[in-house]
Amino acid sequence: MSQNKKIPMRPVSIIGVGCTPFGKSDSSIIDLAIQSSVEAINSANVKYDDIQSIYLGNFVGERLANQGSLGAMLADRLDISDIPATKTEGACASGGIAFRHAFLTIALGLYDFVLATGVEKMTSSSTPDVTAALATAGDMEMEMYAGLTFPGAFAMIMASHMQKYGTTREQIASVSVKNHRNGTNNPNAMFQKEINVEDVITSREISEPIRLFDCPPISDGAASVLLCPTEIAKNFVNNPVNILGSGHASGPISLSGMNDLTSFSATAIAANEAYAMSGLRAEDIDVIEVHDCFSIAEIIALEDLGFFNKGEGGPATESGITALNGKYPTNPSGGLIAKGHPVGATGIAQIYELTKQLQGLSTNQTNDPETALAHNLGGIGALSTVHILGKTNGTK
Amino acid sequence: MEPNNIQAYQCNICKKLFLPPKTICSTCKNTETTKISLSGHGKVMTSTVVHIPPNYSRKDPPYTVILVKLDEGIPVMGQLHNSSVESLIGTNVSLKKINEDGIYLFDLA
Repeated sequence: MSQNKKIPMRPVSIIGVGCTPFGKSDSSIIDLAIQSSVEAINSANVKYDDIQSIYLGNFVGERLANQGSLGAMLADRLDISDIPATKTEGACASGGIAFRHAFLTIALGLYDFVLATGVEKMTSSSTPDVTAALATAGDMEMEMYAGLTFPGAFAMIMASHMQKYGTTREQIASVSVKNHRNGTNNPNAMFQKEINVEDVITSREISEPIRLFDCPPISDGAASVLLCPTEIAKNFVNNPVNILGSGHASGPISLSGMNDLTSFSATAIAANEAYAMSGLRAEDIDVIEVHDCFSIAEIIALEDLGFFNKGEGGPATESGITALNGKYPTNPSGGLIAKGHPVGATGIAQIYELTKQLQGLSTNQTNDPETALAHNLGGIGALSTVHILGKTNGTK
Repeated sequence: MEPNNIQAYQCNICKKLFLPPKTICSTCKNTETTKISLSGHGKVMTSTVVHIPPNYSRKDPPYTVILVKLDEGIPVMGQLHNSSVESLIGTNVSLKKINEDGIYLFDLA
């Protein structure tokens, strides 16, 4: 269902961004959130007291970092504790939802300055505990308690994609190879070393056919953005980035509810909403960040978003179309696989990278992009957010 | 005593089957359902061999998790009993038992 077109919406812009390094951090979960928030607020040249609302994306803070109330806690630590602060949870798309609500509350005229922050602290927990926490994104009673893990669910989807479309192990590994290559230039990325296809397909078995280098690392990190109405954005910075479209949809939470084991319906529905709002189509997008929670997930996302027909994502990736110099540069940040995946932060970290791309300031700068698309996926396709951004004074 | 077969829910009016249970029939919007037993026979839709298990699993890895489309058209998640096999898509399986953790254990048919 798309938004009610009868409600007038104000154009909204990004005027500040911040991101911590992703990896193993000594900082607490709230200190990570403060770090990226302060960077975003300072880069936006706004005063703390100007901020009227906070949305904070987080998935498993209570469980892995033993800390709840993160929204109010962030407002309190930033000394702006009178304002509403709302935590959003949508598994690995918690950050995308926070960003969307920050956008909507400004677009609908409720506020002028809203901070959206995403954060997760995962490395202090054991791998079995993290694995169990992430599995709660699926249907525990109906599926996960059968011994299934989150990587296991995507391994089942990968096996289905290989069977249905003939997607090869090497094509899927080429996603990880590309994203590790991009990660080498991102100072915030957890992995900054190149790997090859052989490294991926011989790495440690996690849940066949998924291997270690098909996965993102367990990591800590936070990312933030500060938004305001486009009409006043240039009073604060000379290079604001405009939000052209926003989409958010739910899908089946479990594999048994999926009509097609090679596609996430929530991605396609959220993308259609964002494309309709922006007036743009997939072929108009210049640079892309997708939710590569596993290498196969990037291929499926690019297909569901309309960049490739179903079954063509694997060959397209292997041929270099999604490389930095390709037609559809995808995950210039290194993606979740190389940058790291502190789950609540990921959706906002994608916006951070694309804002830098549209400002011409990325460490992996693509060729003068005017439009960008961010895709965040929660759970095993249980939900998705899609956002389309545009350069100020872009011609598209 | 737990039943030793897979139970689904059937709409009392249109006879549509559900698993997990739904409060409202998606076809006729009726809210009255009856529990029925399924055959336990089906075909593997997809599978994975788990090497890194979660802390809620009591099974020693590696073990095979399978998504089975039962003959009645209902998909269920279960495990392959006492073996770990790759590339099971399309293989016929039948329910061996439901173990003490409530996990559906299938054998190759």
